[in-house]
Amino acid sequence: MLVGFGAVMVQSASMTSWPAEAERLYFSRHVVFLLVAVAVGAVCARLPASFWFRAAPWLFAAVLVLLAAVLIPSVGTRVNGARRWLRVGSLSVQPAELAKLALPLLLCRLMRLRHAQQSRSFVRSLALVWPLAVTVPLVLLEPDLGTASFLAAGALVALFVGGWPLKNFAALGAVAVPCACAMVWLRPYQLRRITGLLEAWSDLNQAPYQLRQSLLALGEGGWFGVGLGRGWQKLSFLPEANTDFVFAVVGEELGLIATVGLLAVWAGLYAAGLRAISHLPRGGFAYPAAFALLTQLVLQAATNVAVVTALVPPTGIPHPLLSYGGTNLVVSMATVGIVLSLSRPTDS
Amino acid sequence: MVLVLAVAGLVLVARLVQLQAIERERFARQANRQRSDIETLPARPGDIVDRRGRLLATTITRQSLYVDPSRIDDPAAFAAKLAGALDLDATELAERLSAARSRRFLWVRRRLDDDTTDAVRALELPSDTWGFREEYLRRYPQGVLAAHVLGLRGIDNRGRGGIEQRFDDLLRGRDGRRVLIRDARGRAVEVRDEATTAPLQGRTIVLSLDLVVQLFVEEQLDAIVAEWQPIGACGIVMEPSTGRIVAMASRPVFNPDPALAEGGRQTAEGSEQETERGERRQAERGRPEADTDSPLPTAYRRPPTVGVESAAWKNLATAAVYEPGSTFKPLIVAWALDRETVSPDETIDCESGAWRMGRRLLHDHHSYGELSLTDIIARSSNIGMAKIGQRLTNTELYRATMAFGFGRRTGIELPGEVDGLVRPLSQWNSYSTGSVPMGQEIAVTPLQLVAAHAALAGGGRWIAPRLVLADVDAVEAAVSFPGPAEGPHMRAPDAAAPLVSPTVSAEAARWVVEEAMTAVVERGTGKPAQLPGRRVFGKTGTAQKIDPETGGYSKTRSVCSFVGGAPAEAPRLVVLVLVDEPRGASEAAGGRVAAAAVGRILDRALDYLGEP
Repeated sequence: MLVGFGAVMVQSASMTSWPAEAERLYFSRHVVFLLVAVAVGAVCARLPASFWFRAAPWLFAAVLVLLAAVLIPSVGTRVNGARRWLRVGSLSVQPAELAKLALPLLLCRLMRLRHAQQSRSFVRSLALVWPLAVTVPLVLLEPDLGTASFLAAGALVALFVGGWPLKNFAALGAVAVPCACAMVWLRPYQLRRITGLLEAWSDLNQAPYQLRQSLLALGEGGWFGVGLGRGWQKLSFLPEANTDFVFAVVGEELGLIATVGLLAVWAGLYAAGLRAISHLPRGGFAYPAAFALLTQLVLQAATNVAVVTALVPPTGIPHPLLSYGGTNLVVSMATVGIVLSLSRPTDS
Repeated sequence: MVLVLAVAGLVLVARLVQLQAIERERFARQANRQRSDIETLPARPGDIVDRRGRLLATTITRQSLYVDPSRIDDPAAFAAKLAGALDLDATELAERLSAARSRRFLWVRRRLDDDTTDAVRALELPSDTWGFREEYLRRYPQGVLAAHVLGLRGIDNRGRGGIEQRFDDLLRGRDGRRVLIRDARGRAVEVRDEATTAPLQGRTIVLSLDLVVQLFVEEQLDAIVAEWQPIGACGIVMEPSTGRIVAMASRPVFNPDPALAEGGRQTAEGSEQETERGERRQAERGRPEADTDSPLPTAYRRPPTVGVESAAWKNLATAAVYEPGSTFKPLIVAWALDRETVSPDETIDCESGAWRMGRRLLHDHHSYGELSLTDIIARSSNIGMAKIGQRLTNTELYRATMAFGFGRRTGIELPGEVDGLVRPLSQWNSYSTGSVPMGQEIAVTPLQLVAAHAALAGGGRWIAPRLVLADVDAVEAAVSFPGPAEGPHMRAPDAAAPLVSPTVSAEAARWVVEEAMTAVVERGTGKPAQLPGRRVFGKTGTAQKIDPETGGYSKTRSVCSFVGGAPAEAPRLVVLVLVDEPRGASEAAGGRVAAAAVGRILDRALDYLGEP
């Protein structure tokens, strides 16, 4: 448990310097966010596991309200054509990020309750999907396909670990896959992202600008990188260098050593997290919730790396703990905190 | 679940290794390319100066106007403003601006003069839409003077013709380059010093020409052109002691400066240039064509816009060949003296003006009886020369021709020099024995002719004529330009001693110059070249041209020439003036057409040079 927390701290501490390369302002803000995030994480870790069980519905309800609020034109803030932010004074919040916490927690709670009822009804178990069915469309409306699919993935992990019957997954897939195809078909720019990805594989010069620059940054880094702070790509060629594509900057400046090392750290974090929760009872609330949150965090990191290396289409998913962005950082730290909280042996 | 993530992790690692280790070269190269911008630092083309350092060709800096079409909100209004200051067509300019909407850079007009530059500045257009960039512009401050020697340097910085072409690499220098690192917005953020090479500025070429003497020659040629309306004329002044060319001029002539300024024959640097030229051409067409009837000699007519007229482009001094005619006679006499085939005090029977030589009947212009060797030259007796030729035989005539440098290029530092024509000895026949001594059957360049006479004047040593002073600058250039590894074209002008070859003995040469050729001017065909207080020597030549219709020598079309020098006792200069087809000139016009001009050139030049 301690190992996992330490790794996270070291990692987050060493990586916060990244956004500083872009602009001082980002750095100072990032430090503030980081402090907030650590505080939130610490609070989350201090809270007893039972608190999360009790708080899950309320959290979820709050997130739903925020998600709905974002869509109201006068409340939500529009950036780059997407309405994802709630702005209060100088502080802006991305409710969809918060959903990443609330959704798995709620699902695990619901499943725990279902277990308690010993219900075997297929329909009733299928009905567990409802939080998902409410959240994902709301996020899709922002629109934020990346986070939406990510929420879905996290929820599925939670359901899977929570012991949701496999046939339910099949049923869900039967509904979701056509929906997804329809989505892509209805929104040509989504298709464009996918074809762009294919182009990046075949001909670099035809690839979308952002992907091309990301690959160039990585390639430039080589084995050992060009040196901390000496990367060129991030200066202007690589868009969103400090948020979604921060990993490419790591690759350029510190090279393969750092990128693979970072993956290793994530693997270590995951392993440490899994060990920390391994003693928990499988059928309870804590284990699936912690597992889902932890997996979700690692999956987010992996997805981000996959985007940066042009393995999956661009999704707009930041690298947890590494990218600039307050909500993401706070949520990531909160995730760690909650996992730590859940991992403590409880008397419940 | 864990397994899935583990596999995913391995895939990611593999991908990273692929990107950052295996394919890194490719990506790194691309990244480097997209942010590096190689900027050329143009080398300033070197000057060409005369022997006293007067500028013949130089390079000035001019402002070239470019715009950033993508930042121009209203091309029509922008063009309207700019067109006024630039004297361009507003509609056309607006179209160009609109067409280039997506571009960040467009030349509007290059190398503006100072007034236009000020006018554009005064418009106070939005500062992010336009700018000036300094560019070099070649200027020829002396106008037409020595145009053929200098040649032209185009807007593409390539020398064409003359010294500009011959020493193109030396004059052009070598552009430097600077590697700029730019960010995605195109702003330069860093200059990579290690990849920067400074431009190697073009060298200054010092010519042996003297601008003042050149001016004298050109004035005389213009006077001849005005009076005789020939199809061409040329004049050369050479120092017999050094082989240096002091002046060289040819008519018709082109004016290198307007030809440049009007965008004449230069090739375009880009499509913008193309348009620009079109505009200029239009401006040119608008100019009154009255020039054609102007009383100005052909020489000063504005060259046609499309390019320098090919006839005007030709340097008759080195690129044209003529039968030398009688100017050849002193050379043969010197050779015969040297071989002791004739002696200075003997007389030769000139057969009263008509003599059958084999199946050929030779004539003199006047009938002469016994003529001294001096008078054969002074009266220019063909019969006397034929008899000397007979004594020498073809072999010796051929040797003389070759010894005086005919039939091959002199090696002067000018492009386009021709060999002239001396047929191989095996093709000479009995006819040649009579023709060659009077300067027929061979074709020579005026430069070859003047060099041959300079050999006589210089005491029998033939010195290769040269235009470039093998001077400090050339030596310096040889040092600063890297050696042969860089290619032979980068070599500096030959700084070695001039090429000298013996022809005839000093005695023979001196006798021909001081006795025979002085007599030509004192009492023979070259009287118009007489100068008070100076002993001028020389020889007239009137070579009838082959009539293309009859195939024989024409009665009306001839090449009149005079080659001479002064002072006879120690020749300082040798001058040749050659006039191709003077209109209305009768026979034996060499004296009338050319000798006076040579006399005046000699007089002024020697005065100028301080020769008593």
